[in-house]
Amino acid sequence: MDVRQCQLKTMNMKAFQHNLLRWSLIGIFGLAAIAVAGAFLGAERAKLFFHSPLMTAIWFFLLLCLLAGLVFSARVRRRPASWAMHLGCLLILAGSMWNSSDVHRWRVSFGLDAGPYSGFMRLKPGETSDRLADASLSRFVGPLPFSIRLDDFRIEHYPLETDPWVLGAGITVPSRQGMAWVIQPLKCETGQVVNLPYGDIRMRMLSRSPREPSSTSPVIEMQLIRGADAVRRTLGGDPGRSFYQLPLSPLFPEGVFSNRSASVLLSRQEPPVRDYVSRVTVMKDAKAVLQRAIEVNQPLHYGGYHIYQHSCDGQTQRYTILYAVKDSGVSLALAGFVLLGLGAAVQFWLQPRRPKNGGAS
Amino acid sequence: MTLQATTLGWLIYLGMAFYLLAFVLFKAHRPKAGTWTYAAGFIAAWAAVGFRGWHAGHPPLQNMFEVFLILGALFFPLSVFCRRVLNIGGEWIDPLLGFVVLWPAGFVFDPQLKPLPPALQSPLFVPHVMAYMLSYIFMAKAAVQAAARLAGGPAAEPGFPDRDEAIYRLIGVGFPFMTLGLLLGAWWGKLAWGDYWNWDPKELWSLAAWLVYAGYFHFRALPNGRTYGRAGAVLALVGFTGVVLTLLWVNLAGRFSGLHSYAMP
Repeated sequence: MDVRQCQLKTMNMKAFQHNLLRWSLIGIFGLAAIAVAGAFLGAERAKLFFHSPLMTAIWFFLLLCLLAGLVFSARVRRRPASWAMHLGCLLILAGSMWNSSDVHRWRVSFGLDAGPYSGFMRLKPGETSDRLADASLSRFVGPLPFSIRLDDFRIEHYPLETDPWVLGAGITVPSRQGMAWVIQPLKCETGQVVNLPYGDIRMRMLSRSPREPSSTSPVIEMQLIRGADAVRRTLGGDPGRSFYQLPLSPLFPEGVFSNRSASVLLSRQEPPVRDYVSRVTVMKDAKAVLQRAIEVNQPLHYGGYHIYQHSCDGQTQRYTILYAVKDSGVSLALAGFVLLGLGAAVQFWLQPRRPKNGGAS
Repeated sequence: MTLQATTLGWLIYLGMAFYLLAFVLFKAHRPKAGTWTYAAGFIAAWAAVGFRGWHAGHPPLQNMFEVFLILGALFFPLSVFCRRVLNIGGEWIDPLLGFVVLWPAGFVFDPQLKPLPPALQSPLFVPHVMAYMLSYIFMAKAAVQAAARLAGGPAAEPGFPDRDEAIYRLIGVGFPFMTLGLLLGAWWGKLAWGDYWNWDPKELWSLAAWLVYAGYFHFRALPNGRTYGRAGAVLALVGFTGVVLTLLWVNLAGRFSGLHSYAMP
C-alpha cells in the first residue's frame, strides 16, 4: 500500500468517525426530544410508546451507534473511562431489552426460557400458591417454577401524634378512583361557633365526649344554624365505626348548596404506614427451601424471579399482593450501571481535560 | 405566599438575609465582607437543615420544601470549590442563587412534617437525592455562565478562564453527579417497584436533561465543535431548563403525577 492509499484510508476513516459522531448526536438529541414528548403522555401511555415498533427501531439505532463508537471511534478507544461509559450505556440498553416482556416472549417461543414474565399473586396467611395473575388479579398468566407460602402479613404504622378523630366539612368530587371526599377540618371548641364553608350555615359545638384522643368513638353534639333555623344533631358514638356523615341539604332544604353532598363529617385518621411486611416460605417439590420477609425495597430473589411487596388489603390486612418478575438481563444492566458510573467519575473527575494555560480551550 | 413564624422559618429567613447582603457586598466590590456574609448565610442555612433533620428524624430530603432547603445550604461550599479547585469566577452571583433557592422553602412550600413512606426508607434515598442536588447546583452555575456568554458580556472574568471553558468544567463536574443520581434512582426503582425504569414523567424529564448534557460533550467532540461556543452555551441553558422542569414542574403540575408524587409539596 503506497503513502497516498494510506492517507486516503485514514481520511475515509476520519470522515466515517465524524459521520458516526453526527449520527450519534442526532440519536442523543432525538431521544431527548422523544423523552420530553413522552413525559406529556403519562407513565402508562409512555410505557406503551417506548415499547412500540418505532421506538424499538430507535433503540436498535442507538445500540448500533454505541457499538460502532466502541469499535471505530479513536477518541473513545483512546480513553478507557470513555470506553467504559459507552460500554456501560450499551450494556444497560442490551440488558433492558433482554429483560423486556417482548424479548421474553420470543425466548419462550424459541424454547430458551420458560414461565411467565411477570405477574401478581394474592395470598392470605397460611396459603400456598405458584399461580401468577394479571394486574386485575382475574386472569391467570402462568405458574412460577416454585410455590410461595405466606406465613404472616402485617402493616406497621407510625404512631399518631394528634387526635385521630377529625371533625370537618366535606363534599364529594370525582376522582380517578371514583367519588372522593374533600374535607376541610373544623377547629371548634365546646361552646364555639364556626362558619361552615357550604350553604351559609354555622355550627355551634355543644359537647364532645369522651375528650381522650385515644378514644375510638367520640360523641359530638352540635347545633347547626341557618338564619333563624337551628337543628341539634349528634355525631359518633357507635363502636367500630370510623366514618360519620351528616348531610346538610336534607336539614336545610331551602339552603343554596353548590354541591348537594355537602356534609359535616367525623372521620378517623389512619396512622401513616411505616412498612408492609410479608413473611413467606419458598416451597420447591413440597419442601421449604427459603424463608424470608419481603418488604418494600427488600424483594426476594429466587429461581430466576424477583418477588416484591406490591400492595395489600389495607382495611383488614386479610391478604397481601406480591409481584413477581423475571430477572433475565438484570446482571447485564447492573454491570452497565457500574461501568457508566465509574467511567463518568474517572473521565470527568479524575482525568479531566484541561488546557495547559488554564484559559480557553 | 406564607410567612413561617417558627424557629425553622426564622433560620431560613436569616440565611436568605445573609445571602442577599453577601450579594450586595460582592456587587459593591467588597469581596472579603461578601465572603464572610455568604459564610454566615451558609451557617444559618445549615442550622435550618440540621433543625429540620433533627425534628424529622431523617435527612431532610423528602419533599420540595426540604429539597430546596438543602439546595440553599449547598451553595457556599460549592462556590468555594468552584473558585479554588475549578478556577471559575462568578462567585458574586452565587449568594443571589442561594437566596432564590431558599425563597420557595421560606415562603411557598408547605413545611409540614410527614413521616417517611415505605418506598423512601432505603439506603439509596440520600445518595440518589444528594447526587442530583449537587449536579443541579453545578448545572445552575454553568447556566449562569452560559447566559453571560450569550448576553455578550466579557469573554472571561479577570484571572479566570473564558466562559466556554468555565461551562465545560462546571458541566464536567456536575455530569457524573447527574449520572450517579440517574443510576442510583434506576437501581432503587428496581428494588422498590420491580423495574429500573417506569416511564414516569419525572424519570423522562431527568433522562432528557441527562441526554442534553451528554449531547453537549459529543457536540464538543465534533470537528471544530469547541469553536462554536455559543452553541455549547445554548446546550447548557437547554439542559438546565430540563433540570428545572424535572425538579419543579413535574412535582407541581398535577398533569404529571406519577411515581414521584410523594415529593409534592
